[in-house]
Amino acid sequence: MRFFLILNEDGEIRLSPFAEADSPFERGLVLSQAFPLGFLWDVLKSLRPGSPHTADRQTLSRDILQAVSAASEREAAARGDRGPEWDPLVCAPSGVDEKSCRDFGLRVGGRQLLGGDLNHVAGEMAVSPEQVWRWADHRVRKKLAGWFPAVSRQGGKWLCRRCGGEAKEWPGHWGPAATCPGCAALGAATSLEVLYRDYGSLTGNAPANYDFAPRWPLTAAQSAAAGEVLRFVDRAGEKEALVWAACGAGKTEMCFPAVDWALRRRIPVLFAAPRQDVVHDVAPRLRRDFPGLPVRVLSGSVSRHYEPGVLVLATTHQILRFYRAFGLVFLDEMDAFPYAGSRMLARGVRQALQPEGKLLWLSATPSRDVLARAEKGSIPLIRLPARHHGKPLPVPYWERQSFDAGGGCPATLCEKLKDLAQLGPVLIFVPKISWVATVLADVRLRLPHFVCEGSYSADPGRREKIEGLRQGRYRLFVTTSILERGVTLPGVQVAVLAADHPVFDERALVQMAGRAGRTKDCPDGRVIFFAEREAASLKKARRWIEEQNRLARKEGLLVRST
Amino acid sequence: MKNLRSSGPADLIRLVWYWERACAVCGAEEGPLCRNCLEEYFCPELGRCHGCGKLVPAGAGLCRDCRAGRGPVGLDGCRAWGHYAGLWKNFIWEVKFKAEPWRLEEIAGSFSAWACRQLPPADGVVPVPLHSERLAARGFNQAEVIASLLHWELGLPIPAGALIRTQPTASQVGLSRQERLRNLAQAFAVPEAAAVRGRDLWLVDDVTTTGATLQACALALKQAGARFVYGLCLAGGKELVQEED
Repeated sequence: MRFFLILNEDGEIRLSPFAEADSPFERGLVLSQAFPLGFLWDVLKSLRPGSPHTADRQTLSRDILQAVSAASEREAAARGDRGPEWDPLVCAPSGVDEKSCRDFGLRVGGRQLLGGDLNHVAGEMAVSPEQVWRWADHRVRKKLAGWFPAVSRQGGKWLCRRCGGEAKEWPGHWGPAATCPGCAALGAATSLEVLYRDYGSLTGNAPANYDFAPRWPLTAAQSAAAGEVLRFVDRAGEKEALVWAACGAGKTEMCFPAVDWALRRRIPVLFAAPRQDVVHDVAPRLRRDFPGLPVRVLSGSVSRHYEPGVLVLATTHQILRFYRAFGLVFLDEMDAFPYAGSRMLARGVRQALQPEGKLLWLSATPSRDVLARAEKGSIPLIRLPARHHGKPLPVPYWERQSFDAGGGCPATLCEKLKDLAQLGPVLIFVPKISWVATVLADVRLRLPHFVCEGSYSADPGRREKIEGLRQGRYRLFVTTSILERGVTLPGVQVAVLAADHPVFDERALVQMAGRAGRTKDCPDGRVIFFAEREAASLKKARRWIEEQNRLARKEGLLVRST
Repeated sequence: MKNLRSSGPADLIRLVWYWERACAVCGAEEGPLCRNCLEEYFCPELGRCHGCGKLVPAGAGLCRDCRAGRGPVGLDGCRAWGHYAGLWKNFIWEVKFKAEPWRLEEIAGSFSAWACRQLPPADGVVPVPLHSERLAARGFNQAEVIASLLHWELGLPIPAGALIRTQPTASQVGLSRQERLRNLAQAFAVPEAAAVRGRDLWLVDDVTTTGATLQACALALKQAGARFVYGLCLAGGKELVQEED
C-alpha cells in the first residue's frame, strides 16, 4: 500500500493511505503521487531540523516538494516525468462506523500486522480490504495505532520491525529496498511494505464471567509449585521465572491457577510453545478447565487468526504478530526446536510481553542460559520434581554396546530388546534417519514374533504409524528424536541406541528417558542407554534425573512403594 | 562502489563475494550462471518465438500456437530468456513465493545483456503490475524488481503511472488460454497516457506461458498510445519439434 503525504492548514504533516481530509473542517494539501511509507519517512527526515514546527506552511510545502524530488531525483530524471505536485485536500466520502471500527479494534488490539494480514482481517470480518484499511487509518489518527515501514534502515543495516532480524537488500523501484528473510514464513516484510501496530489492549476481550473448574485436583507437588507460581505473578519486581519440572509432572495444569489469577484481573495471558502439536494438545485442557472462556489458538494450521480473546495459545512464530500485548506469558519447551537458538523468536516473545509483564519459562530440560540465571539467583527457580503418581522417575542405566557406522542391531542387542519387550512396548531411539531402516530390518529378522515399525520426520506414513503406536499396535518402534517429546504411552520401555552420539545431548536423553513410567497404571519403566562409552551427556542426563528424584524425596512428594 | 579510501570491510566482502560467487541457479559451479545451467535452461542454440517468446528451434520464427493464430496479440515481439523447468523454475518460484527478491540481483547482468541483444532499444521498461491485494500478500512485485534491475543496469526509465491493475484476478495457473483472456479482460489500465504516448516499451514479467497477461497489458498500453510494445520474461515454455503445416 502506498501512502499520501498530507500537509494541513496548521502545518501538521500526516501520512495516510487515503488522500482525504480527516473531517469537513480539515483544510490542506496532499501530494499528487503516493509513495511507500519508508520513502516518505526518509523524505521527512531529510527536511531541515525542526522545520515542521518552525517554518511557515508555504516554506514547508516548498521544502517537502524539494525533498521528494531530491529523494527520487535519479528516478525522476531517468523517467523524464514531472514529479509530484500539491493538490487541494478533499473530504472523506463518509464517516467511520464507530461500532464496526471498535469490533476491528478488538480483533487487532495488541498486534502488529503487515498489509497482507490486514487483508486477512478483512476476509475474516467479511468486509472489503479497503474498509479495514480505513478503520486502521482511523485508529492511527486517534493515536490508538501507528503506521511504520515494515523494514527500515538503521545504522547502515536494514532491520525488520516485526522480528528485529536483518533484512536483505535488492534494487527496488524507489532505490534500494530490502526484505526480511527471517520471518518470511508469516508473509514477506519489505521496506516497501507497511506495518500496522495497534496499541489497543486485549483486555477489552475479557469475558464478564467464566468458571475455573479444574477437572482433576492438583497433586501435592503441583499445589506447592502452583503456589510459588502464584506468588511470583503477584509479586512486584521480578519479571521472569523458571519452572523446572520433571518429565510428565503435569506442569501445564500447575499453571492454571496463575492463568485464573491473571484473567480475574483482566490481564491478557499467552501460552506459547515452539511446536504446533504442543499448542493443540494444551488447548482442549484449557477449554475443559475454563468453561465459557474463549481460548484462541494460533498456529500455521489454524485458518482464523483474528478473533477477540484474552487467553491466547500460539506457536512461537505466531507470537511475532503481537506487540506489547500480554501481561503474563508461559513459554513451554523453551529448549525445543525451532525456539531454541533462534534470536528472532526470543525477541518475538519479549516483544509480545507488556513492559511490566511477567514471563515464565516451563521445561523439563531448561536451556543453559536460563538455567544459569536461575542457579545464580537472578531469576526465581520453581521446582516440580515429582510426577502426579508419586513414583520416582525411571533412572536410565548404561550398557556397553558398539555399533557400525551404518546402524544396525546386533544379535546380542536384539536379545536385550526382547527382554525389554516382555515388559511392555519398546521405543527404540536412533541418532540418524538412515538407521531407522537398518535397525528395523535387523529387529524384524531376529525378533519375528513381535510387531515392529519405525518412523522419522520426513516419513509420509508418520502420522498413521504414531497413531498406531498410541493404540498399542506395535511392540517395538524404531524412531529418531521426533518422539522424544509430547508422547505418553502406557507401560513403555525406552532404549537409546548409540546414546553417546553427538546428536543426543543431555536434554534429549532426559526427554527420551522421560517417556517411561508416565501413567498411573504403569508408573515404572526401564530406560537403557546403549553406547560404546558412557559419555558426559549420559552421566549428566542420569544426574539430572537422580537429582529430581532426590529433591522429590526430600520434599516428601514420593509415595512409598508397597 | 565508493572510492578505495572510503570503502570499508563490507565493500571488500562484497568484492570477494563477486569473485567467488556460485551459479545463481544450481549454486554449485562458478557464477553468475554456470555452463551446465546455461546449456540446460537458457539454450543459446535455440531461437525464440517472435510472437510469444517461447524457446523454439533456431530459425523457426514462430511456435505452433502463434502460427495457428493462438498467440498473444498487441505485442510487437516477445522473448523469454530461459526454459521454465527444473532448477530455473525453482529459482523463480523461490524468488516469488519464498520472498527472496534479492536473488534476482545475481542474474541482473546476464539477463540485461541478453535482453539488449534480443530486443530493439526502448524508451522505457514497464513491469506487469500486481493488484494491491496480491502485492500486500506477497510484499513485493517480482516484475517490478526485474524492471528495476533493467533500469539500474541499462539506465532505462520506468515511466510512472504507465500501467496499473484495476481488478484482482484469480490465479492463472491451470486455466486455458481463452479462460485466461476472459479472466484478464479489463484488468489493466493506464492512468497517465502521457507516460507512454508515442514511446517504445519493454513489458516485463517473470514467466509467460500462453502470453495472455502480456497481451492484456500490451493492449492497454497500445490503447493509451504506446508505439511499440515488446514482451520480455525470465522464463517461458519450450517447443522442440516443429510440425509442418
